[in-house]
Amino acid sequence: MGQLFDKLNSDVRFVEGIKGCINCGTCTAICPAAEVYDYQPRTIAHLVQTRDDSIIENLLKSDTIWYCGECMSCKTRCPRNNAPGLIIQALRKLSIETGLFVESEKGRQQLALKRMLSDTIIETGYCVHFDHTTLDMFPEQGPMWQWVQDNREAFLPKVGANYKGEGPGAMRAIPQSDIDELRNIFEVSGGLKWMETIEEFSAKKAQEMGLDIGEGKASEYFANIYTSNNQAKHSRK
Amino acid sequence: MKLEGKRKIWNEYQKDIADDKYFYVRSCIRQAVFPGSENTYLRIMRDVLKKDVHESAHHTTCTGIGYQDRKSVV
Repeated sequence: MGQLFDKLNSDVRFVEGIKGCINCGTCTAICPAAEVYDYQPRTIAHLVQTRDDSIIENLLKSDTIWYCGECMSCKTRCPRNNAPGLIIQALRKLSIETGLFVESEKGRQQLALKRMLSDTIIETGYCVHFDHTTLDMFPEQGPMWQWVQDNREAFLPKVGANYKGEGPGAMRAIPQSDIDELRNIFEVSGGLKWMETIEEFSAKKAQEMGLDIGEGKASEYFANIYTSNNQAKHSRK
Repeated sequence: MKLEGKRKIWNEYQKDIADDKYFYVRSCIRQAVFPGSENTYLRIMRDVLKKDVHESAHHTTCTGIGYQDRKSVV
């Protein structure tokens, strides 16, 4: 056993996730991610079972651990009650803690998640806020969305939204006391520290890549990780 | 797979779902990118299906974040 394996083994999700894999491949057969990505949950279970730190380090640096959608279909079918999805969660946590997430394209996207979701939670109380769904970040919304954004004050009440209003309803303003409570939860649970860790390692990687880390979405590094997609590498072979 | 075996496998994942008196758990993405969908859904639940649905102004970020954002913050 090695240092990385010991850290993995201290995560309750890892302990719950791997009890003894017989390599039957049932998890891969049911895995939706395996349909589209070069990914097999069976391989994940097999590799961590080696308890070999060099193998685990390669996993932590890889795109592979970020392909899983955590749907937990694998857990429902495993004849030995393993859950590769839980193993993945433990691997992702360790990848962030060790900073090895910046060594893969999909791992580097953690900064995009942090800046687009986590920061928005702390700022607005929502993980995704209407004001942030600009067409440059959400092109799938189509050109009509620009009209919706430009005419929000007139349009949103007509579809029943309580945009930035008091009380319940879609897109209501979240009271500051609730946002403060949310922030406290993130602080006590270690979420804020984790967000800082992502920023720190991403800044180092940006420097290494010769890109400006910037703040928010105004960043060369952010643009790089948000748009990079090596489809040929990721796709199921 | 035989149907009987399939039922057995899924048996422990079955759960009871209440038929009335719901707490409305919001989705941030649904609110943000489908602005009219929540109101339409609640109107159907209340006016058509006559269900009692409770909303809270204090409901912050959606349940989806508990699942999706575990990757980065929890």
